[in-house]
Amino acid sequence: MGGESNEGEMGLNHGGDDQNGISRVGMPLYAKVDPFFSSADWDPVVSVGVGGGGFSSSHYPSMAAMDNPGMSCFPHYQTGSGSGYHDMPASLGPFGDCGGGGGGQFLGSDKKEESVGRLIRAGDGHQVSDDVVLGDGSSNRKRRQPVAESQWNKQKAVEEFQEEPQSQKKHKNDQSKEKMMNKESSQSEEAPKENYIHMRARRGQATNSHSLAERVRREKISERMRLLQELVPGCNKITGKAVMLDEIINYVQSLQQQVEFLSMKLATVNPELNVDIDRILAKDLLQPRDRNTPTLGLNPFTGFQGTMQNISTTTNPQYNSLPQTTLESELQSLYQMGFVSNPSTMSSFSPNNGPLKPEL
Amino acid sequence: MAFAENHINTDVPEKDVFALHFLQTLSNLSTQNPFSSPDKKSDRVKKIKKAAYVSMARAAGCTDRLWSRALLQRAAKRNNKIVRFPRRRKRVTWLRRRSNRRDPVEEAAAERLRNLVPGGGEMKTSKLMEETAHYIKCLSMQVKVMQCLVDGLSPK
Repeated sequence: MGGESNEGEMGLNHGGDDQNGISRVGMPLYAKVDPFFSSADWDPVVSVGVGGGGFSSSHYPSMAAMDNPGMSCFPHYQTGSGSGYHDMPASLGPFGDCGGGGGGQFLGSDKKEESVGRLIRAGDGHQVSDDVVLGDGSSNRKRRQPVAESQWNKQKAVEEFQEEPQSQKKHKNDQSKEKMMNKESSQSEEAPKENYIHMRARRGQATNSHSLAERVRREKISERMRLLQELVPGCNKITGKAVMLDEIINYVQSLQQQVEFLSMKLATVNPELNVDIDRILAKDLLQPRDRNTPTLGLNPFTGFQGTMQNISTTTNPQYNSLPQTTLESELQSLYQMGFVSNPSTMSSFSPNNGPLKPEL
Repeated sequence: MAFAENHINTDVPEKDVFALHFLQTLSNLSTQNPFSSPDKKSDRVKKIKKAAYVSMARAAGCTDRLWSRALLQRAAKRNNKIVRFPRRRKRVTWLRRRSNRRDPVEEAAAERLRNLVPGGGEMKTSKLMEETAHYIKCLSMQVKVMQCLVDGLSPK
């Protein structure tokens, strides 16, 4: 889709047009990413009917529009770092297949190697190396660190490359690698400590740097698709990425709809959130927990507050502000406000304990 | 080329962690408005829904996951509080988008998935799917918790 490249970045709504045919002018793209906090007239059924695509509410609250989740709406052009690599492919001429390459090509192809070795670095912390050697394995030992430093202005890549002098690298051709370089640059920014994946081309497969990186990426994606396939019920027999992805999307949408539906039910069932929640929470505390999660203790109040301090680093009673520091005093005061209830009421709540207990 | 499966960690905490967080958030919600019970049902619904998502994000590990971070930041922004996580957030550049655009068939679906999963815009496709897996697990856990709550609270 042509609109894909700029749909998120410019804050335009091309994506919305493409997917749902609803044009919303002036709203950032990710206003429609906001199914959770949409307005009351957002109807999940309608939005599912429309193209089955992402949620598209006709009226998002202005807050969501102004929200700008900030994830991707502002372009952050890495042209500075990207352009640094442009001279790289220019300096390396096109090469034929490495398998047929003679000795005279080794020196030049060394540059490709190390650049490709960087390029194959993926963000997963893998170390991968095939056993199949392309026949030029011994030439991998030639180090090109001076070449690297002169040609790569990315310090991280250089350092990481120097970490593993003895690792086996792939000996590949180097065509234009701009795309991959950009991928690498953005990858290294977000994962400075990741390791390389060192791959070798298998026998009989193309040794084009592009295709190899593509293969790495495709394998990663298919691996995760397998993972997702186990999660989504009823997807065992589905083969094919597109159908699988559609299933996943439908499943996520249905889960979100369920959350919404259940929250509606909760709202009707429980007009006064105050008392019942406290009761349930206190009742929960009475159930023995043998796990090591420091959340609930047998002793309802003192134990609860005591364990609350343990997880105060990760929890914060005021969910509209999320400091990373612990706020133990605030926690305690809040819990004392909310959770001091009569112990006698807990016993009266025991009939409801049945359905809750085995579930929780 | 061997990818170890164990590098993808999509463990979610136990159900009671989700339950605890949700109940905490709900009780916080009620204590925040002690005297003004929202008359409109839609307001209450929205608040509960928001509480559900926020507590889910917290229960699943606040900052460990991209989606939970993005969700919490979005929630915090709606309350006009600026939240800054110590880790640097990445913004998807158009270059990244271009490099993401490898397979047009799957990328169209991946784009839809990005819109669904919070924080999906700035991930690569592989990372997006990892986040989706974790998100699905957390969502199903949250749904279970809420279902139990509704069952427990509904009048017999």
